[in-house]
Amino acid sequence: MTVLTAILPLVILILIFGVFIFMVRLTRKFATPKVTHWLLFIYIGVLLLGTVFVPFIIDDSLSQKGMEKAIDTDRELSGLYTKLNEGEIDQIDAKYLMKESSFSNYQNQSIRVESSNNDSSQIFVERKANNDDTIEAFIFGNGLIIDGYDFSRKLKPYHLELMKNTLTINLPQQQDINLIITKADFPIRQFTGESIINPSFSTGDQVVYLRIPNHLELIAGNHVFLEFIEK
Amino acid sequence: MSLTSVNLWETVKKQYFFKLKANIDAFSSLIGIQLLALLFSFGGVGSVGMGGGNFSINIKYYSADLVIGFTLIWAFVTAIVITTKPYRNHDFTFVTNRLSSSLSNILYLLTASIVGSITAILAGNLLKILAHILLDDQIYSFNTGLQELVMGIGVTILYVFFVTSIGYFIGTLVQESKLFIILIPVLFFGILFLEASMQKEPFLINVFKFYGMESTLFLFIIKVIVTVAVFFTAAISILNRMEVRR
Repeated sequence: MTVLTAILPLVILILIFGVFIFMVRLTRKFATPKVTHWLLFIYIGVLLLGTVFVPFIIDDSLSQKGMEKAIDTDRELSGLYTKLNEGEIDQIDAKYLMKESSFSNYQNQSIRVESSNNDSSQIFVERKANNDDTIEAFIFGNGLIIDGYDFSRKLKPYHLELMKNTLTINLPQQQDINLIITKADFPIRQFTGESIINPSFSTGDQVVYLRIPNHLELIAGNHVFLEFIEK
Repeated sequence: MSLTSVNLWETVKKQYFFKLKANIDAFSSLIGIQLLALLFSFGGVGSVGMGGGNFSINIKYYSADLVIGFTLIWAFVTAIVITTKPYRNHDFTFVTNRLSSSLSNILYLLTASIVGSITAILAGNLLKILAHILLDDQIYSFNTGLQELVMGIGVTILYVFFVTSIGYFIGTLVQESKLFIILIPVLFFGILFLEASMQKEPFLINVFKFYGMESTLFLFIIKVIVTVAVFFTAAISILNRMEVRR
C-alpha cells in the first residue's frame, strides 16, 4: 500500500503529461487553438499537478480514533485514572505518556514538591521497595482529540525541575496552537455527516506520577495534592 | 418539401459540437471565477477557536466550498445566457427545430457542469498547496480517499446541472415574456418577505433542506434527476410554443 501510494503520483504525473501532449497534438491537427483552449489546458494541467502533489504536503499520519472510540473517550479516561490509582502505569497505553524523566543520585532524606499551577496539581506518588536514590517522573495526559483525531503531540508536557531539595512542576507557557485542517467539500459532507461548525473537542489536565525511593519524605507545597499509591 | 431527411440525433450532435466550440469562452469565465473563489478561500472557509488549561487552539478549515459555490453561480448565469436571442440564432446555421436546439443546449450545459465540477473539486487541492506554500504551515487532512473524490465530483455535477436547469428554465421564461425579468425577482423576494412577516419558515429553507440536507445518496440522485427533468421539460415545452426566429 505504501509503495503504491509512493508510485501512484508519479504514474499520474506521467499520464497527465502524456494526455497533455496528446491533446495539444490533437488540437493542432483539427483546429487552431484559441487562447481559451490554452487557458483551459494550463488550468486543468495545474489542477491535476496540484492533485498529484497534495499527498506530499498533507499530514495524514493523524491517528484516527474513529467515531466509536471518540465516543468512548470518557470510559478510556476513567480507565487511565483507575490504573494510575492502582499504580499500574506499565499497563497504561503509551499514547497517554507525554514525558518521562529521571533524577538520579538524590541523597537527601526529604523533598519538597512545588507547582506553578495555581489550580492545584494532582500528583500520584509510588514508593519503591528499595532506596536507589532515583526519582522517576512520568507525565500522563489524556491528549487533545479534535473530531476524533489525536493531536496530543501538539501539547507541551509539564516541565519538571529539581533544584536542591525542591522538585518544581512547571506548567508550559501559554500555548497558542494554530491548526490548518482540510475538510471534505460540502457535497461530500452532506453524506458523511461531517461538520465544520461544531468540531468535537476533548482534552484534560496533565497528571504527574512519581516513583520515589522508599525512605524519601515528601513535603507538599502550595496547590499540590499528593496521592500515595498503596500496592 | 426537403428531399433529405434529417435525423434528430445527428442534428443535436452537430449543434452540440458547434455550441461547444462557439461558447468556449464561457470556460474562460469559469477559470476566472474559480481563481477568484480560490483567492477568497485563502483565509479559510471556516474557523473555530477553543481553549483549555493553558492553551488555546485556533482551527482554520480549508475546502473547495466557495469554489463550488462560485461555480454554481457561473453555471446559473451560463444557462440563462444560452437562452438569449443571439445564442438561439446560432441554431439557425443548421437545419433545426426547437427540440434539437434545446437538446443540444442541455448537452452543452451537462458538459459545462462536468467540466465546472471537476475543476471545482480539483481546485480544492490547489488551495491546499497554495496554503501550504504561502502560510508555511503543516496541513492536516481528514479525508482524501479516492472514493470521496469520485463521490464529490459526482454530487457536484448533479448540483451544478440542477442549477443550470433552473437557470435554463428562468432564461426560457424571460424569452417567452420580458415581464418575467421583473416578475421572478419580485416573486422570489416577495415570498421571502411575506413569509418573514408571517413568521413562517421560509420556503427557501425547506427547499434547501429537501436537497442539501438529504443524507441518502440514492434519494438525493433521484430528487435531483426528477427536478432537472421537470425544469428542462418545462423549458422545452415553452420553447416549442415559440414562433420560429422569435
